[in-house]
Amino acid sequence: MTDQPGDSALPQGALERLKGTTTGDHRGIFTSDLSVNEFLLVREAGFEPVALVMGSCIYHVGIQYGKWSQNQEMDVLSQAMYSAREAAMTRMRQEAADVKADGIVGVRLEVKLLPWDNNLLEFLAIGTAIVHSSGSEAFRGPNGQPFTSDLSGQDFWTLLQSGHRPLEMVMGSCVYHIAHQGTMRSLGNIGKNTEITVFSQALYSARELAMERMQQEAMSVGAEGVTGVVVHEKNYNWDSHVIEFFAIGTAVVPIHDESIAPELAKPQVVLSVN
Amino acid sequence: MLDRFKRAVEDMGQAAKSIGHLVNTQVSSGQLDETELQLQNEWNTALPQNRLPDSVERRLTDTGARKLPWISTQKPIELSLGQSHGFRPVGMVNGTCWYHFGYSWTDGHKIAWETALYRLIYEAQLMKAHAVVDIQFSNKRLGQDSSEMDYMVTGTALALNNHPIPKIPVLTTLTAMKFVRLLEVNLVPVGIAIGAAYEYLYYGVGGFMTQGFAGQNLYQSGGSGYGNTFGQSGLQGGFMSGLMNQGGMFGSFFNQEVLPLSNLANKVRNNALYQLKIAAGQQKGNYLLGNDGMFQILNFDGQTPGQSGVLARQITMGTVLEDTHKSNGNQKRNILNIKAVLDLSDTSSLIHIDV
Repeated sequence: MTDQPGDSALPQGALERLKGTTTGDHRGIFTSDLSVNEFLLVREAGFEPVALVMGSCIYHVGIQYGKWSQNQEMDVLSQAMYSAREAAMTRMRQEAADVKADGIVGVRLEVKLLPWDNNLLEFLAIGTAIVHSSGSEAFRGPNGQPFTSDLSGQDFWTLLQSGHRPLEMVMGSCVYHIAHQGTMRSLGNIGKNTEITVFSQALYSARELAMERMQQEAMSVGAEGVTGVVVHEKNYNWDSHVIEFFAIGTAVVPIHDESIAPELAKPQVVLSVN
Repeated sequence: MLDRFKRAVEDMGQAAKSIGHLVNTQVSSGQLDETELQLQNEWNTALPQNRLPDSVERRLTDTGARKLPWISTQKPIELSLGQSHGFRPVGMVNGTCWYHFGYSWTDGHKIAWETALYRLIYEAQLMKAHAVVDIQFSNKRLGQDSSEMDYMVTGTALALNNHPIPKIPVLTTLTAMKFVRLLEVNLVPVGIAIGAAYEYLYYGVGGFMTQGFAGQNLYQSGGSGYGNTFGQSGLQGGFMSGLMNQGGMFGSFFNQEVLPLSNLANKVRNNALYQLKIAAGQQKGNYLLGNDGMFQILNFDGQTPGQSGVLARQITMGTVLEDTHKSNGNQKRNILNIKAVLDLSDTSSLIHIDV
């Protein structure tokens, strides 16, 4: 540190690098898609990013048969959406395991339609693999595999502060066909205000199956709960009465191991000045 | 577009199996198995009786009793509420009602939202929740049919540790953090108030004649109602041409205010706000926050000049807060101890590239 005004806040090492008096070392370089603030908080939580990891899976969706007038799960489609996402996630996790990461943060799971074929979908999972700077493996997920999470750097830090750690991204998916109503039935509704129970029921069933599956997945990794759940209903080039009800979130568990429990910051009420 | 699915239905039969074999996927017969059929029957009996199938009720009760993992839409920060304020997430709740509005668009909306909310409350009760936060309203339509749609409300149920369960949980569209922040200073979001008003203004022979109604809306945590007396939707377009036909001031070369329309707009807006205040008052609220809404003025053409005119409508809603300090006759207020900090969140500085 020097006494000159303006220099006082900067550490000596940083100053010397700025003055060009040291040389960078490329061996330790990492790739990530973290923002500056995320990077700071991931480090603050005791982790270092090691690599941007990804897994991709291009999947041909098989033929699905269903009855026009029936509410039912499109099991072939459900299975396709599920297996393909699982494959992309597994490949991403394998990449992380290869670099000896303890986990992956900021996972984005994307589904893209390929323009030349309605039956082809691309599933992409991408995130930043991180490793605990102490060398402790206590943060790893089920079976000693790296944990996966869609938490941002900020959310990851906050989660640890809440006394939880991420285990695995869990999903619940259900592709459902909503019955078409027969003409006679539709005519019967003309001029009436009435609930269309058959449609309500379809949405309920789809929701129920997706939620059940998500809870099942969370149970199987020994989670206490699932945080940051996002639910969406989408249609990927299917019949207009077919929807995918998809829920995804990060399964978490309380931190029992005292050695890895973070020092808790005391929350304060603040007014942002930037 | 005749897509894969429709084609498949038409070709159902033998071809199915061979194609299915080629693409190496399981071909389902399109028939429901026994258990699925039974479950659908249960849904059909349960919904009209204001309950859910047994298996669903069991899942919700088990989730509430912490036998199953909780599911929460909230970010990790909410989990810290457990440590700081004794709240824990219980699970996601939802209510849905697919409704066909035949004779009345207005009543249809009212009944459908009421039903969906009732179902959400029912799920929260099964989970033994104290509050449902982050409530979101959404609609869904199939195809172009405008006479029916799905009304869905979802939210995250929260419970306080070791406190008696209320009969009806507090409902709020606020996130858990904001909800708790308000509780800290003795403000309880008791519900959501909605005020709506509409009025028709018909073109008369010599100018404008007015006629119509104004209405009131109320949706509160007691579940006793989301009402609305919105008018039928008018026909868009042709607004100016419709006015020009009236002659008089619209044919004039001078700049001038269209007073009948100004008055109509003011009247409808004021009326909606008044209804909003009444609705908030009925919920014993002291404050109303986040006043949000929409205003529309639509032109419609009828068979005769007397049936043509404009429709103005306004819907406005906000969160009702009760100041429990005030209700308890206490004048001293809790104040927040505010500090200035640097925000490490990314929302303001994120670079987003659309591809």
